[in-house]
Amino acid sequence: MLLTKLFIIFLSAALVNNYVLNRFLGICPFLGVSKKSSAAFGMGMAVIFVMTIASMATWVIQHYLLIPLNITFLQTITFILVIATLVQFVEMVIAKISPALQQALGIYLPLITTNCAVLGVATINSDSNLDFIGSIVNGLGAGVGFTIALLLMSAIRERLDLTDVPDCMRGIPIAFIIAGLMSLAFMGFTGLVSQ
Amino acid sequence: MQTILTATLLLGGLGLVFGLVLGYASRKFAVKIDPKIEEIFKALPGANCGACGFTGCMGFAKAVADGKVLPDRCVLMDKKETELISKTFPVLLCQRTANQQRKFLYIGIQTCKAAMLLSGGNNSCDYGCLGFGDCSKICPFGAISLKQGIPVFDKELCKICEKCIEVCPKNIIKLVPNNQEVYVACSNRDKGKDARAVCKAACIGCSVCIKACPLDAITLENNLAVIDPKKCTNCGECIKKCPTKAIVK
Repeated sequence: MLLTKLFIIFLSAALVNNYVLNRFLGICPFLGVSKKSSAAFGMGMAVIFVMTIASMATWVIQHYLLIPLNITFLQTITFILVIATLVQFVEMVIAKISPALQQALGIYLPLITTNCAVLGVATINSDSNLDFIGSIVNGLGAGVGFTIALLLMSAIRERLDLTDVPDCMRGIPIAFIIAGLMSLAFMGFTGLVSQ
Repeated sequence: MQTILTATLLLGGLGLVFGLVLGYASRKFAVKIDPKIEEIFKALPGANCGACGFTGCMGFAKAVADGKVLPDRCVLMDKKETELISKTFPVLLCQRTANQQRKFLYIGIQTCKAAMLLSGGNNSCDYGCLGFGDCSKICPFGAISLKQGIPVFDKELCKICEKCIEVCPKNIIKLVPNNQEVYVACSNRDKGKDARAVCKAACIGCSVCIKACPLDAITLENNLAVIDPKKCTNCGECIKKCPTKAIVK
């Protein structure tokens, strides 16, 4: 029963309520880092990682500090503080332990600090009253969904470079149209799981 | 009042704790970076815009330090600033002379790329410049002019966009550091006799320059002399001794 529930949370975060294509969070990296599949993959992995640990940390802060002290209005600023610190800390640890991983994630890890999708995950977790495990799964699903969207977009854009797109539409304009079409397609997942 | 106090204490406390944790972590997990990379990184704008094609300024600094890429690729720095990091300049590694022999008479499309398709071009030397000026045509800054079919680079106009390097089908335009005045202006890797037969100014791999160099900066790779820019001091001893004048300043 629990597993089913977690699976539904995961699927819902990854596909039905895709953070990029349905909630329109994190559009900046979606358009900025989707020119090459390799970069998109690196970014996606970094986002999955950060979203999962941010879900964990913010849940703890929310339930052990903000709610008991009755100061949930500080949620946004506290979450920003927590996420920023967490990312910086993780980057330092990775730099020491695994330079190869740091090389792979590159600048994406620190850049994610200011990614609204990560803050979005943390806020949505607390808004939908998920428990600790549920929050982690939701964060993981959101990250996976973000990666799927980013990888699909990068694959399309790599092919678009080789096609005959009118000059005025090249680059960002056509990317926006593609993003809109992809968003429409992802809306089709609505009803796949009923929450 | 109570709420304000709690809020201030909590945020202040969290900030303090996180600050201490990060401060401790930065010491505990400090990674030693190559001082050269650090120096380049400091000189970069630090915008992490990614326009250079690398993952942030640190990735770019590493690539510059490794010599994989030129500092000029940074769009936020002007030419003077990039010169502080490294000075580089394209040179043609060929001294084809105007009256050099031709393999055959080529009357096709007058570009190096087209000529290259016909058994590697009509230059008697398989490694040499074809002289149709693809590089000068593509240069957006007019920094390359053809003098008797040989490209000449203008240091003042060149912005090191590397377009000429990409377009050259013979791959004989290379970047050398600006302070490396002495370089081997030949790409012929044939054995001495064969090289000499196709071009009078070819490097024949005779090793005279290697013996002449007081700093052991020259090595022979595939019958071609290679100067190590890190060891070379531009003393010019090799130029004096080179029998074919393949080393130039």
